[in-house]
Amino acid sequence: MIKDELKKELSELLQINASELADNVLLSDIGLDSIQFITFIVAVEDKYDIEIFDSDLMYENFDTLDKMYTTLSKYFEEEKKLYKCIITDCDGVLWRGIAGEAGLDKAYYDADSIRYCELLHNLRRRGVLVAICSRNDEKNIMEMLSSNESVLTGEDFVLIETCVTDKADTAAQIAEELGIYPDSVVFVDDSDHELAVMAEFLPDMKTVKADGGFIDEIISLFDNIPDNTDIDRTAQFRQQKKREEIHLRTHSAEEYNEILETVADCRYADVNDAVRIAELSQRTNRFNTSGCRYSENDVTAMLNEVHTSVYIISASDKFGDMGIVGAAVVRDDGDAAVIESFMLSCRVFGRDFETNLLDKVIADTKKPLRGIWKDTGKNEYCREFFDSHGIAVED
Amino acid sequence: MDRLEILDGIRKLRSGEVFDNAELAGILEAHGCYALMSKMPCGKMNAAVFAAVNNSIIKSRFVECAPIFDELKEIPYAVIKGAVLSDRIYGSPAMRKSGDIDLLVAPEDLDVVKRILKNHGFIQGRVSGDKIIPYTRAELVYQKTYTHQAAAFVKATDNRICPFVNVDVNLDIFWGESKVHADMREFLSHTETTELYDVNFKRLSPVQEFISLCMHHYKDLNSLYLLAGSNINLSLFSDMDGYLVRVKPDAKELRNACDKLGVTGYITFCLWHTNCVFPSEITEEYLKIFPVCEAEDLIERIGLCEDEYKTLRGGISKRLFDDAFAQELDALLTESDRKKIAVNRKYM
Repeated sequence: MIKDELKKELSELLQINASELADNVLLSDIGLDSIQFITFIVAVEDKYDIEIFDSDLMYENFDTLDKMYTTLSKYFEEEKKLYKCIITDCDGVLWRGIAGEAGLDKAYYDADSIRYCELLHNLRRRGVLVAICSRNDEKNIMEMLSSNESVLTGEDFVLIETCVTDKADTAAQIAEELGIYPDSVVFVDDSDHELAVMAEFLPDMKTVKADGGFIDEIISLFDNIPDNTDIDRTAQFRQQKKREEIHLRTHSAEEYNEILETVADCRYADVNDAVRIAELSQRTNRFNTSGCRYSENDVTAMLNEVHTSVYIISASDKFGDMGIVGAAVVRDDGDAAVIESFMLSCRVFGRDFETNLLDKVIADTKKPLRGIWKDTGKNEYCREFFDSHGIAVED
Repeated sequence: MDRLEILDGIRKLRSGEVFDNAELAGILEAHGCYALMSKMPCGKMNAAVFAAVNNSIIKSRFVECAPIFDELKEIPYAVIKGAVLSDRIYGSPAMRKSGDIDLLVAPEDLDVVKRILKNHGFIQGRVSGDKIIPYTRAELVYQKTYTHQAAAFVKATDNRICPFVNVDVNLDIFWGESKVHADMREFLSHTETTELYDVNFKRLSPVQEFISLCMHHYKDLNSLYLLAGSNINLSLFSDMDGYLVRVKPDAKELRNACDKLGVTGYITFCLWHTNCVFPSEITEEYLKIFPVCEAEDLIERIGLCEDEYKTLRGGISKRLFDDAFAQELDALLTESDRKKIAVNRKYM
């Protein structure tokens, strides 16, 4: 689609039929001189509400249609649903047959099931939480995962839940345990009955039938998860469970943080933080005051804007480094400043990090502050946040 | 004075001869050659006044930028041209005309530099009267795409001596028209820490600094946009001559660095013409390592890219002091040249 749109823009600008042009033709040969080039860039930026980075603004990045597409394509990536978890059945899905059975039903790994297991292993490495929901019992499941043929081990799964009633309940409990909404979960099963029950009672959860081309379908559902992430969310979840056990025994955020030996740091964001800030905006729901979703390009552009400031809070404690756990985007609005977006990871709820970050924003902003709060259907948790800290709220 | 008399006069001044000539002093002032001007009794006072006023302004600029230099430590950078060169060449940071602070950074670090400057109150714009007018998006795009710099950064201050501070961010030692680009991270790995007005910052090592100086001056000597309607400036040759005399960058190291960057021809051009203006045994030693036969195609050429090249005969003094130079150049300009000059004027 982007190619067609760009060709249309060029056609209008140069008064030619750009749709017939070869992708490797030199655009200067068809009339795209410096004035036309600037007019084209500014028009494309205005029309599609993008800002091309300085690092891309080199003429050699735009001198043919091919190069133009390559340079501009990253500014047109469509927003895709972000799934955080995959819940998988075992028998007939992770392996063929039934774990614990003998004879014809004996469980074994074949090429397709191994391919699926390798996919789950890859997803786990990329930060997706992988859980099991099965009607088999845990002993049989662990035996299969411990076998030599198994690509996966018990450690790869953030939760292994067995059930005797319907899986919809169990899947819902898994989502709640992980602190994520059902619509962030993909449920994989080979049973039409299980999938029908899921559709009826947990319609927000994405379901995939484990047949034919299901592995490719799962790959496409998760292809917006970067490959180079270094966040082990499974380990994070386990660390978080330990924190929560301690939390139950404390009476205040201060006490909690003290016992955990918490170190938190609030500062201006820099370009190295752009990936994580974008990820935070994409993943946070409950504490995301305006529901703004930013791409990495959006964040980098904001960092270069004169009238925008981006703050982050990062934290670590005795269980590990949590990295950046919150961010705030503040825009200068003349006589006042507006907190366009304020987000906090649910992993750090109850530790007052939001107050720490807001205090930093207040201290740095020499103007009256307003905060934007928009009802996203998922952020009721932070509805009173600005009000409770004396910040005027703007819809 | 005709151009040969002018040349004769400035060569005598350079060699240490003391004499007075008000017309020559005026020419030197017009060309920004305050160091040479100060050698003349009739020019000494004006040169001193210029240096004193300039010193205050430059000091304010550096003090204002001190926190920026501190933050820039995280990336490879160097402060180039202006006061830094003046200090090295003329023994004082205030002997060259300078309206800004020039940074040299790698293009991949531009986002970081922009963020640092923005955090310290700079915006990309131009000063108009007592206001800063931000550049339009079209101007920003043009300057980034077609020149070797990002659009200039400026900040208003409360300082009456220096009400605005300008910072230019240079991204290459080559000019915007060049299809060749330098590996700036490698180039900027040759820096040293120095200090002016108690402000610490990084400058280029002598070999790289001389290359950067010559490449900038080569551009000024050959850009049709800069030359349209005016002569070339004597201070360019005064700078290059002064650098060789005072700093004496290692000739072999200079040659190796030039060959690696692919700029040998341009440096030869600069050495050759500097020697034409200020004949010197020191420059001739460098010309033994940069023989002019390797840059013959450049010597009488003007223009920065293939589309612009023209031949201009008659020696460098013609380009410096001949009133007819501008007309002669104008007669050589094509329609495409004029269009490019007009576009530059519109967006710069």
